[in-house]
Amino acid sequence: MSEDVQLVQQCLTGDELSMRAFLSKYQGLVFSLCLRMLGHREDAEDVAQDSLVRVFRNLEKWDQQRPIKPWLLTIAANRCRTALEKRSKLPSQNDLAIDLASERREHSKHEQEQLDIGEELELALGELREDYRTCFVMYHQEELSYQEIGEVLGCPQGTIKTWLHRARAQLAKRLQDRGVVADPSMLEAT
Amino acid sequence: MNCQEIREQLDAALDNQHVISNQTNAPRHAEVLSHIESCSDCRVLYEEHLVIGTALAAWVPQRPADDLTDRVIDAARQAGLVSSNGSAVAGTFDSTSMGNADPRVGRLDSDAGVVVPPTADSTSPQGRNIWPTVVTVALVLMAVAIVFREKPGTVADNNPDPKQLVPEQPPELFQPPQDQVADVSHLVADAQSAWQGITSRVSHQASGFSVFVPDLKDDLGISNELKSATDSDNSSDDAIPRKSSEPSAVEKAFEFLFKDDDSSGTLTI
Repeated sequence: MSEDVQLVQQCLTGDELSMRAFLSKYQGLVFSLCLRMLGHREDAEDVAQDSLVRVFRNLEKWDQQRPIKPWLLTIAANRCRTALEKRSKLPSQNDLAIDLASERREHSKHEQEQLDIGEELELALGELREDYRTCFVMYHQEELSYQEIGEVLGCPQGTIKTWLHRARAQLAKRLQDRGVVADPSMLEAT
Repeated sequence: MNCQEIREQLDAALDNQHVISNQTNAPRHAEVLSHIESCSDCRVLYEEHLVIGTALAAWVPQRPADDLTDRVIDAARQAGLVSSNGSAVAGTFDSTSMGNADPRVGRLDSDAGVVVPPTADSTSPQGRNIWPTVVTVALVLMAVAIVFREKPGTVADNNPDPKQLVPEQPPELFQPPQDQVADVSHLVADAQSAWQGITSRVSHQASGFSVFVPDLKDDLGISNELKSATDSDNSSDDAIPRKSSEPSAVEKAFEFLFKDDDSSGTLTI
């Protein structure tokens, strides 16, 4: 029996401690997707909360033979789409920029450069199409496979691979337009 | 290596979270680098590849607010998804509580990544506190059972008064008609005559067994008259003490039934 199966079975009993352990393990994943799809921190937290409550309500429907991450992200992605339909507008990149600016802290020059590049990537992500952005985040941040992303977004693997390639290309152009250049010292870490 | 293969190599490297550079030693990477030296189109792609690689290396995942967990738990509780006897207190769980040594509280197994439920050790304060409650409940149930079993009045309240079941006047005794009483007298007389006939016949046929009669009569405490009547035939029974000088009811019955038919002094039965 996998760790996820044990944890889910304990959550199904309504045990609060198990539910908190489940949240500590997966709420970041759900929130991250919501933030990428909605582009607004407060909205992302609201939708993440709604998504996670729905997850607990439907835990018995999870197929224990399959990984839980795509199942979680499918629920979150559906809730994000519903929120976007209600909002009737695409996520504003300005909202995300403001959020990121408010989280600035004092760092060393190197750390600040890294943060700057990371923030530039966030800004560039905000300009991408939603499906490109979601695909990029799921692959590079949540480390889902093509197949798992396809299950979440309801698309074949070929489509996911194409979207990911286009997302990288568009991000690279936007980053270069913003003056971001490759840093050899950072490449050493990759 | 042609341009299509270069693109595939660049994508494959990013798929594996790698960046192709002059600092990597893979043989295929050397071929890519030598190709981009002479291909301007592929060099553009390679620069984009480096930029994405640099951004990914600096990318820090966004984290939700600290209170998101509490918000989700509260919402789940309102939806009835959290049991009322949850062992955790809202806001007390974090990663530092993984090493909680209190057996009454569930802990997070960092190795297995699962929550180990609280133990029900009888030696723990929680385990000891259960038994008084169990004993009290058992005693109450026993008391209730005894009360309802030993209180027939509660059941008989709906029954009629037992006095009403018994008639005040006893039933009349059977009184045969007068014309049938004479018939009964005739039946009794006939029975007496039949009995006398039987006894006379038996006494005639069993006269040769009179020697055994004294033993039977002595065992039953027969009167002196009968005893002395048998002494002439068997005098060895004198040692048997008499129980009473007055004849008993049995003796009287034997005198009535086995009285001498003649005055010869010999007993005939």
